[in-house]
Amino acid sequence: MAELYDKYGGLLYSVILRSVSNPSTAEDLVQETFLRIWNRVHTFDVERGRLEGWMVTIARNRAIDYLRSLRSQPGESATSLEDLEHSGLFVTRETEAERLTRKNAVGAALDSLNESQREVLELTHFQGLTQTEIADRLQKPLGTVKSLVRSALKILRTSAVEAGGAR
Amino acid sequence: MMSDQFTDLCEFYALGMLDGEERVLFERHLAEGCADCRAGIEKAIELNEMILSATPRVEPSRNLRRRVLAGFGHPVKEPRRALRWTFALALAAALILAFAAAWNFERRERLAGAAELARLREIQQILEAPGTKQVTFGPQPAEPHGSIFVHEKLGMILIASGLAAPPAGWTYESWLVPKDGAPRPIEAFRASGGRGMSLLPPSLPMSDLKAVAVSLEPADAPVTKPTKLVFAAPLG
Repeated sequence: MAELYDKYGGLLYSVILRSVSNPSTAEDLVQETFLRIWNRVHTFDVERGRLEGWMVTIARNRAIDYLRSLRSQPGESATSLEDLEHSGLFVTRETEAERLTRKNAVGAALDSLNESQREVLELTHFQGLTQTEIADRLQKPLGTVKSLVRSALKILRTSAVEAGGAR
Repeated sequence: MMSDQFTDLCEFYALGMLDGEERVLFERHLAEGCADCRAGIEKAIELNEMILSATPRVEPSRNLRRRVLAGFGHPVKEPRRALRWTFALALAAALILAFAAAWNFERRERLAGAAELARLREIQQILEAPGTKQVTFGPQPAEPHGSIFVHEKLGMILIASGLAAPPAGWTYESWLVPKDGAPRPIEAFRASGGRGMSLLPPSLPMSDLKAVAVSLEPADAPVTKPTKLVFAAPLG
């Protein structure tokens, strides 16, 4: 586990801190994340799975669960995040190099998003708001929110596909 | 090809941002086993991972590493499973997991995360399996002593204490000793603070094994037979 921490601990902490904005809370959630990883590791296919992706998703979900609990909305109206971290969803046929190429392309494409697109991605990916909550927060019509998320994800998805060939 | 509408739904669902009637209807659709949407969700999750992974790095405090690793001295277990354990085995398992973390911390060879994960998973499986038995050896504290956790099908974990630091250029090697035939080398391992751990795969039926042994071997030479036997722990 020390090796896993050394390799991914900084990333998980960074993702969680970006969500919760409090170093002490972030550290608590990192610890919780590693315990969850440990308890579920028997379900993970080490040979075929995207380990970093699985871990960073679990970390993000712990932060979102925490934020939802603060909002006194334990996600009743939203999808259970646990359903989205099942290890079977993290299978890949790509090599590490291919995946890294696509990841870098997505990272570069993030810089090309406009301010509104970045704002909604911050709320979806790091604050865990539902579409209705985002519309309320931004005082924008639901259709506008969906359109912003859609356009942002399309740019990123296209960059990933182009970097990885016809995947 | 999936329509734009379903691509949107998959991506919104993968973010957990669907709500209201839209969420209910989509989850109902998923429950019907739509393979296209399942694949769409997997792609959406992967895209989300890449977005998350692009987060600028912020270094945590050094104390966090210690906290996280210390937590593995007290692994969280499901109550029902824990009840199947004897208290002694549960305690031993907790100590082993804590030791495994410390042991990995001090390894010089950097294993890939996945390889270490696989190894830890094997250790966890052996410790949690209902049929695992503990065999102790070396009752004299001044000599090498410890435990072997034995599972018929999953293999064994050797934990040894009282190991002297090996001479420069030498390393510890674990062996399976069959009742008939020559000992089989398993793996080189380090001793830290007088303790060492080795994971022994189930390469031979337990009924064919006589002992687990540890020897000292030149680090750069091929291992064919024990050079300097340190101890042999009987299994039966």
